[in-house]
Amino acid sequence: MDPLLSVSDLRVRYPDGTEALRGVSFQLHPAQRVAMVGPNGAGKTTLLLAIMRAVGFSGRVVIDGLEAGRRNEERCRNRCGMTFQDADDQLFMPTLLEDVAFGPLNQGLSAGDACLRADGAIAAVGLSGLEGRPAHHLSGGQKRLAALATILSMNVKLLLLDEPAAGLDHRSRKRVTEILARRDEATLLATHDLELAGRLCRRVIVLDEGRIVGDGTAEQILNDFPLLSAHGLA
Amino acid sequence: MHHHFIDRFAQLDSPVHSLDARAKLVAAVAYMAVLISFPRHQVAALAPMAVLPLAALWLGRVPMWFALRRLAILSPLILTLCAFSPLYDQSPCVAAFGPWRFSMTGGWLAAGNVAVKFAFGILALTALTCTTPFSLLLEAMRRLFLPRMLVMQLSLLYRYLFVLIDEGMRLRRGRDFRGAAMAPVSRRLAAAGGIVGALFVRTLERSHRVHLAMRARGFSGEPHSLRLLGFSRADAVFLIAAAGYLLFCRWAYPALVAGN
Amino acid sequence: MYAILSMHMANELLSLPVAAVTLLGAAAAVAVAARRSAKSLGTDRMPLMGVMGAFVFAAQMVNFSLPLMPGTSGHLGGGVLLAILLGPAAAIVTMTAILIVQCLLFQDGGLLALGCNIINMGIVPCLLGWAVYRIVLGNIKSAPPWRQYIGAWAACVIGVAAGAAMVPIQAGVSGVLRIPLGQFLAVMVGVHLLIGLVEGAVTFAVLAYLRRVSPLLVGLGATQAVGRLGRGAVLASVAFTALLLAGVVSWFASASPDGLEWSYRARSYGLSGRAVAPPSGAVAAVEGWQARWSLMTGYTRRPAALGQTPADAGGQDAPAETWPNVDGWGSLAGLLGTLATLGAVYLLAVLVRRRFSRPGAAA
Repeated sequence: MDPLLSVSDLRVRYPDGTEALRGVSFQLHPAQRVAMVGPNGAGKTTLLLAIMRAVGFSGRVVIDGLEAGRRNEERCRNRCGMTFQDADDQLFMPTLLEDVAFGPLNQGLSAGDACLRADGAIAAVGLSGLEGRPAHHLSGGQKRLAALATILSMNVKLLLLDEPAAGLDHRSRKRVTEILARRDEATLLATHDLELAGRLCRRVIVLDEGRIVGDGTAEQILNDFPLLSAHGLA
Repeated sequence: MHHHFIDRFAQLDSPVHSLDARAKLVAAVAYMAVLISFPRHQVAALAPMAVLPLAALWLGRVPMWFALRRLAILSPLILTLCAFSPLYDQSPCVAAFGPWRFSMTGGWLAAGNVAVKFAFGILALTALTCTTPFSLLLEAMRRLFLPRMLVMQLSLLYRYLFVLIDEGMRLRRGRDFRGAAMAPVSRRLAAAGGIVGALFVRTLERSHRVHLAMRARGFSGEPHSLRLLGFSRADAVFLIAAAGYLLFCRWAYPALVAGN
Repeated sequence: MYAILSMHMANELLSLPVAAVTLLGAAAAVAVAARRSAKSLGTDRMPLMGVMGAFVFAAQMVNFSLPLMPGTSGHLGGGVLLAILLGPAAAIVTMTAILIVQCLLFQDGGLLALGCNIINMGIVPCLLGWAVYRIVLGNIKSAPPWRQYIGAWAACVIGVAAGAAMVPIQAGVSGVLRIPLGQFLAVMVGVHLLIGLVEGAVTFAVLAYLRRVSPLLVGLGATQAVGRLGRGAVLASVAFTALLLAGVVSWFASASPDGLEWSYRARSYGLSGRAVAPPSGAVAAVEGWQARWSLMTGYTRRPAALGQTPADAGGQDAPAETWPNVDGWGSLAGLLGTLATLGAVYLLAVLVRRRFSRPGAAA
């Protein structure tokens, strides 16, 4: 089976000179859920942004057979969706329905079809009934789920989630975890929350200082105390 | 959330809320236009104009205390101007009302005229905005005349208004709790400048992130909309009735009253 | 709480023609500004000006208690600061969005007065303030900090005052509240010179902060890309300011406000002879407009509808009929009818409310 996502020797250097990623390589298969753990500043967010073609990089990124290059930015973005650490940055329309329908509308769907897709995505995250609510009337947990809905409605094949449960109370984290567990898209989850990683993913990659320092099953990595403590995770 | 008063009643349910936003917008604009077209010496002729905004407020379940409080907050400037009018316009005239006669100056009449018009105008605007969710109002404006890009900017403004006000309040509270009131002018000024400056930088960075989120969802400069509005027969009836009533108020009623 | 003293213009100070003309004029100017910003920012960044608009709202909430006047506090209007930081084109578009939202969400400023408000608080302060700032600043790369601060301060004072000066002109041409133009202008400009001073102080503080924290934003870079105004526009702005100041000074000097509204029994200004023959050409021009437009607002010559005499005879209209059938009964009857209608509507509303607040109905 061909990998859905193939990253080879990815390097990202910021304008001020810092090297955020120093040659990262891995592969992801369809329907596979992978957690990328690492301390703050390891480069997890940068990696997700690079896959979304939002930062410049050197190296190869191939998504669903399509090599990410300058000319096919749009088509690459149609294949993967990313949620940000701050859900407020992602919910920018006046109502939930409009936010979730934003993606499908930009994909070229008609207003009616976009609404249908949006309704489906909102139901999938359990927020039905809140379509007319503006984002500032949603709780923190609901905002995270809403942000997830905004990319689910685009029918993407790869989900890139940046700290999907950070800062949530126990009940909200449980909800987010349940809903993510039910999805069957390929998922790359960036987090420093080991419990979440273990609950949702069977494969864990450890990132530190821009390099991959561990890649294995969840049981292997999450029980490898020396590895985890060496990289600030335990 | 200290801004709960914004857009507070727009999510309620009432006959007025169910009207199409375009119909309400057109009616409101027409109302205001007719209102300011009344000549400056007709004050009592304005009376029937009160019915439309009050009906909209009442039937729209908007509490009167809210509308009146907004009116009170917004009045100072115009009341000040009205207060000047009697000083400068001293031409005498007689106002008749029922069995009573008042002799006063033209300035008072004009002041009363403007004050009454202002009150009605604010009530009408309040009725419009408190019975229509902002997103629908934007959609109405987009369909009627406003360019799509401006509408998108307005919707982003509305959306991030609350976020930014919260941030601003937090920064301000942080300043106040550290005894800013006691500080000398220079430090107070520096604190105010710092808060505003910090807000600016944060907003700029947030706008970059929002831009990223928009591009990640396929946005390339062309705003699309969901077409949430639907014009129904009730809306047509409402518009026709409102238009008829406005015509009556502006032309038929004053003529009737003058006995012409 | 949105407790800032509202300086926005209300519908009711304007006549329909003035409202229409200002709406169209403002729309055209904003369209031009939008096109310029789209060119420098790129169309996919245009929506972000909405986000920056939210910043202005929040910034307007940051108060700063004034030194000599206990209980009052100064606030930022925002137009000039935006123009300095984002360039005039982006600032104009952002201020337009802000004014529309203020009108719709806070009922601040009338819908029909939007054109005037956009001109007075958007276009004029942003353009003029920016021009003054750039003139004082000179070459941005080699300017010492004090030049930037002085420039910002002057920009605020002149921009805000110039915008405020438009209000009496717009109200005067409309002719609704007949307040003598000269005095209205003097008061508005005077008050707003003070407001501009306070705004200048806050703007200066913001620039000082940004210079330390994020110097790129203060146009050692950023503003240059956004809103390079041609020299023609700068000269035009300076000329406009000069004319405005000259006009204000000459009105002061004339010492006799336009004589339109004065009846011959007006309070003596000691110059009633001059009330008929206005001294300065500019005043006569405005009076001319005033006469023409006021006639168009439906100033009626028939017996006044309420049995009142027309408020003043002015010098332009035919001598008004004095004391026609001074019959107030018609207006009393009309008022009673209105009250009856209102009563009926209220009853209807109560019934409706009861229906809608039954448990089954959605909230």
